Formats: sequence, C-alpha cells, structure tokens
Amino acid sequence: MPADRHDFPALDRLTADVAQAMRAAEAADAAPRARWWRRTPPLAVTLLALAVPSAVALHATTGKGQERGVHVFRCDGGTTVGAAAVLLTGVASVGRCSATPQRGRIVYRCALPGTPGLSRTAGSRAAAPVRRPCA
Amino acid sequence: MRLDADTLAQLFEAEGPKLLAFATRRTFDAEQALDVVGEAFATAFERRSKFRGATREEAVGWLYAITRTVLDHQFRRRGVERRALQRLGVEPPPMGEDERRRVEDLAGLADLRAAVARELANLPAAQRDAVRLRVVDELSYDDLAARLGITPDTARARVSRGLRALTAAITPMQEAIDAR
Repeated sequence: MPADRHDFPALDRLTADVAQAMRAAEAADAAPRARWWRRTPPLAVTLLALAVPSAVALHATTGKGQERGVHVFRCDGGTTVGAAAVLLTGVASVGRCSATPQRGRIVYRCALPGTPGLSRTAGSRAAAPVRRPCA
Repeated sequence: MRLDADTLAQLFEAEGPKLLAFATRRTFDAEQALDVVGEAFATAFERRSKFRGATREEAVGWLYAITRTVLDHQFRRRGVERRALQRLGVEPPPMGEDERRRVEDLAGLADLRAAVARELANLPAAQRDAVRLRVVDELSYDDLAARLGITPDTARARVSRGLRALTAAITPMQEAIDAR
C-alpha cells in the first residue's frame, strides 16, 4: 500500500537508509573483483609477452629474417611445432631446427648432421612436407 | 528472480507498511515492529543469494518468513536483535507518537488488545495471575513461584497454559487482519 507511505516518516527514512546501505554494500562486494581484473594483465598482453621474444628468437635462427612464415614444421625426432607450440617450446625447438628460405619454399633443416631435413612450399599450409637430406 | 539491492529496495518500499503492520500485530508495539522490519530486510539482503524463488510473490513470502524468524528471535530473547542492521550500519529512526498511532490503526491493534483483555479475563484465575506476573511484571519463574506460593515448575506450567490459550484465541484474529 504505497499510498500510506507518506504517513510513516520513520518507515520512509528506514527504507531509504537500508536501501542506500544495501547498494553501498553490494558495490563494496563487487569492488575487489573489479580491482582483481584491473590488476591482472589481459590475455592478449600475456600472449604477446610470450610471443614476441619467441618470434625474435625464431627470426634470428631462420636466415636473416627472410623467411615467409613458419606454420608447422617437423624434425626427424618427431617434434611437431605449431604456432602455439612455438610459444611454449620456444628456444628448445628453435635450437634443434633451422629454416632457410629458398625460392618459393622454406626448407627446415635439422641441426644434427646426417639427418634428413624437411621442406614445404611457402604459403601453402596444405602442402605435404618434402623430405630432403641434411647437408 | 535475482534479488539484488535494487530489487530488495523496491520490495521494501512496496511491502514495508504491510510488513510493519504484520509485525505490530505480533509485538503490540509499533516502534519495536519497525526494528523487526528493518532487521528482516537487512537479513534478507545478507541471505539474498539463498533465495530460490522465481516470482515477486515468492520473494514477498520469503520476506514474511524472515520477518517471522526475526519475531521468533525477539520473543525468545525478549528484545529485537539488530545484528544485520548493525552490519549494514543502519540505526532505525525513532517513531513519533502520531506515526505510532497510525501504524497501530493500520495493524488493527485496538481490536487485538481488546481481544487479549477479553481472553485474559476468561482464563482461570491461577493462569491469569501467572501470565500477568510473568508477562506484565516480567518476574522470573522463581520470583513468580515465590509470590504465588507454588513451585517454579508449576509456575512455568500455568504461564505456558495461559499463553497457549491466549495464542489460540488471538492468532485467528491476526491472520484475518493479515489477509485483508
């Protein structure tokens, strides 16, 4: 019966006080979560922080920065390195394999002498790797 | 239905007067009833995540259930607890005499008081005296027993029977007014 409200000033005041306190308490409950999100770096920043050093390391070992792109390459040890895996396995994988740009293709050579290397046509993800002997 | 501060504030605004009248019919004191209603809303806010209802009617029913719980605690402790209100940092405001009268009118307290007096007069004299000494004079059972020259256990039994008879007579009246 809202029409009666004007007859009850103490109830009106209590209603307003409780409503204000509830809203303040709710905002205070939500605040720590918001602060936590502000403190935590966004996922994209985290991925970039991992990707940039990995990419630089890979760039340095793949022939003067002329490579066309590294999607997936495989060493004889059976290690498959994808874009995400590069981030995780990073330096270890790069240390074992090297990529040399050639006309129209990228040749990945294993670091161990006497083991065959692999090559694939640059720009074609679907192209099957071509086995080439290591130099 | 999700109960947040805004929803509860709206419910408080819409249902506050009815809840105040409901509590006044049970405390026979408008100011005490205001404490009860404030405590009930503060408690509802603290327990809002436990509300499982889907409709506004269920939310209102849930508020009445909490108000009954606060009233039960008040009767058991002989005073209104304001713990939830204190945690919210709210102090119930004092109620003026005019407002108190209006709340008592809304609650139909005059009829209820007359009914209590009538039922009290109808009690056996031993029970009536025991109830008066216990409820009005607030004597302990030991003092009450000493005053009436009976054992404390007998005093408890007389008060208990007398209050049960009064409750049986008054409750249907309270519920009839609640339903209006």
